[in-house]
Amino acid sequence: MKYYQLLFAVVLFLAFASVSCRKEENPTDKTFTLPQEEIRDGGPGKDGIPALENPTFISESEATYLDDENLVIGYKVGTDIRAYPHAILDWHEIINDDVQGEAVAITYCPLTGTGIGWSRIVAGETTTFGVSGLLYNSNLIPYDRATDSDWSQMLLESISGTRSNQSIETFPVVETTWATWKKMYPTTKVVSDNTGHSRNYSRYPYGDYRTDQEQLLFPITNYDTRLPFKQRVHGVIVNGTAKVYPVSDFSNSAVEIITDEFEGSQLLIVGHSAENFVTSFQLAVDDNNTYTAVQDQLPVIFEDALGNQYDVFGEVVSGPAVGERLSPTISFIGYWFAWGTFYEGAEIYTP
Amino acid sequence: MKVFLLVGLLVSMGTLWRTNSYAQACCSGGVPISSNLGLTNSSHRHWQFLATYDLNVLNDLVDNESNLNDDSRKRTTHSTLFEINYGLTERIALTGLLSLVRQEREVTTFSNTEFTSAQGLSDAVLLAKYQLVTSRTGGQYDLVLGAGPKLPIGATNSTNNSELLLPADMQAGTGSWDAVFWSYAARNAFIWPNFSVGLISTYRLTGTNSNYGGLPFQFGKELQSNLALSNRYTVRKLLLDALLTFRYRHVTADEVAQNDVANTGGQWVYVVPGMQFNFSPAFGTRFSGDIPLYRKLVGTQLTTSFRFTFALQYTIKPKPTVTVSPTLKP
Repeated sequence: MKYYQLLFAVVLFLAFASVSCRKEENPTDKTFTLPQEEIRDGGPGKDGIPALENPTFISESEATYLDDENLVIGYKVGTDIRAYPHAILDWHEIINDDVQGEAVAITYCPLTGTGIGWSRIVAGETTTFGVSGLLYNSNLIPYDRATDSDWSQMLLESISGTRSNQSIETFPVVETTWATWKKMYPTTKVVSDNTGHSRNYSRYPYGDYRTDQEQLLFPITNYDTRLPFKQRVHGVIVNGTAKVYPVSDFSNSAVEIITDEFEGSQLLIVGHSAENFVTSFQLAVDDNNTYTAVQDQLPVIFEDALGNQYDVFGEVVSGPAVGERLSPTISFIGYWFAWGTFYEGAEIYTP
Repeated sequence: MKVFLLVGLLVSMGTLWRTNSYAQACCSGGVPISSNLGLTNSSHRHWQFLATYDLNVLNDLVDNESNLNDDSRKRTTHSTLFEINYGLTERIALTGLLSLVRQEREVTTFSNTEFTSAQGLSDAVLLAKYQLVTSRTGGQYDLVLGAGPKLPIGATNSTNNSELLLPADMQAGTGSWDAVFWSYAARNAFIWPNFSVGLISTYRLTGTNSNYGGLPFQFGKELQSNLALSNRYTVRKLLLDALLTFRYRHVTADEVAQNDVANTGGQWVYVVPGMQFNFSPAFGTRFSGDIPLYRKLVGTQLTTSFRFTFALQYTIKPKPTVTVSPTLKP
C-alpha cells in the first residue's frame, strides 16, 4: 500500500472516530406519569429558554417597550402591584419572583396562551422553576429546581420525578391589556426589558402563530373544533373538569356579570371584552347576595347588595367588608384548542 | 481492490458505530449534504472517492441581522460524508453520497451544562451528472449539470434516553424524498495560467415527511451557490491550491402541517478560505473553514459561528488496455 493510501485510511479512521467516540451525556432517564410518546422535546433543550429570577421592575412610564394593546399578567399583594408582560414571557416563559414575601412563579406558555400564577412553595419547600424544554399537548412543562421534577402547566400537577402526581398551588392573576392594566393600577410596576438576557422583546417570536387559527406546532391528543383553535377563553376547573367562557363573548361596552353553576359550584364570572379581561370567583353555597356590575370605575368591577365594591381580584375595596375577598376559582385564560385537549369535552358557556 | 476493501472497512465501522450508540439519531436538517457534494465529474471508467469531515459549530444567537449577546446555547454537528463518483462515459457520471452525523446540544445555565447528543446514518444522495462542456480536451471551460434524489434512509423516530422523540433537526434523516439539482461551471487559466474560477450550485427541493411525530414536517428548500477562486502553486514536487470561496445560502422556512415554523429560514453569506494539497494526480487533501460574513435570518436563530471542513480525495484510473499483437511464427 502506498503511503498516501495509508494516510487516507488513517485520516478517515480518525474522522469517523471523532464522530463516534465523543462523550454521551444525555439527560438522566425519566419516567413520566403521562404516555411518553405524547411528551415532546420542543427543541431548545432544558433551560434553553431561560426563566427569569427576581427581575428588575420599572414604573409604568418607563415601560416604553410596551404598546397599549400588549397583554400583561397582573398580580397584586396589598399595594404591591406588578405586571408581567407577554412580551417578556414569550421569551422566558417563567418568572420566579418574590412579592411581599410570597414566593411566586408566573408561568406562561406561548403555544397555548396560558398564563398561570404558581406558588413556589411545594410540600413546604421553596423552589424555583425552570423551563424543561419539554411539551405535553403543546403546553409548557416547567421543572422545579429543588427536585428536578417536571410539571404540566395546564394539568397543574407533577408528571415526573419525586413530586409525581403532586398538585401545584395556584394564585389568581389577571390577564388583560397593558392599557387596561394601567387604567386599573396606574402605580403598577412592570418587568423591565433589561432582563440580563439579550432578546428582541419588541418582536413576537412565533410569527403568525397566535392569529393563524389552524396552526399548531406540535401534535395534541384531542382536536376539538367547536371553537376556533386560537380563540381565547377563560376556563374554570372544578373537580378535574372545565367550563370555558370565551373572552370575546363578553360585552364590549360594559362590564358584564355571569352567575353560573358548574359541577355543583356557584360561579361568578365577570368580564369586558373591549377591556380584554375575564375573572371568576367561587361563591359560597349559601351566598344569597346579589352582585351587579360597576361601570367605568376600574379596577372596581362589581358590587353587592350590602354595599361592598369589589376589584378585579375579588377584594372588597369599599363597603362594610373592606379587606375581605371572594374565593378565587382555579382558572386561567388560554387558547381554546388547549382547553379542548387537556379537558376533553369541556363545557362551553352559552348565555 | 485495496480501495474497495477500505470502503468496506469504513462501512463496517459505520455499522458497528451505529449499533453501539445509545441514541441512534442525528441532525439531518443540519447535515451539510448540499455543501459537500464536492466531486465534479469523473472521466470514463474513473472512480473518485471523496471523504469529508465537517465540523459545524452553532453558537451565535442572531435576531434577523443582529448578533445577540448570548452564548448559553450551543449546537455542534460532526459529519463524515463519503462520496463516490464513477464515469460511465467521458460525459456521464454517477455520484452517490452517504453520511454519518453526530449532533450535540449544550445549554449552560447556573454553571450547569445540559448535554444531549445523537448520531446515526443520514439520508443518501444519488446524482446523475452530464458534462456539457469539458476542459479535458484542451479547453478552458467546464460545465456539468446533475440531478437526482435524496433518499430518506436515515431514521426520523429517534428518542433520547428518556424515550422522548427528539426534534426534527436532531433526527438522522428527514423522512422525505427530496430532489437535488447540482451544477458546476469553471473557467481554467482565467486571467493568468494558474488561476481558475468556479461556481458550484445546489438546490434541494424538499419533500414532506408525512408523519413526523404525528404531524407532517417539511424542511425548508435550500439553495447554495459557491463561487470558488483557486490559484495553483508548486512547492518542490507538491502542487498547492490556495482556495477562496464565497458561499451564499438561502433556505425557506420549515413547515409543520403546511404552516411555516417561526425562526427558521434565512440567508447566509460565508467566506471560506482553504488550501488543497495535491500529493499526486490521484490523491489530494483539502482544508477549509467557513467564516460568516452576513446573515439575514427569519426571527431569532442559533446559527453557525464557524465551520471547519477536511476532505480527502482519491482517484482510481482504469488500467491501460494493452493490445498484444499476435506473434507471427515463421
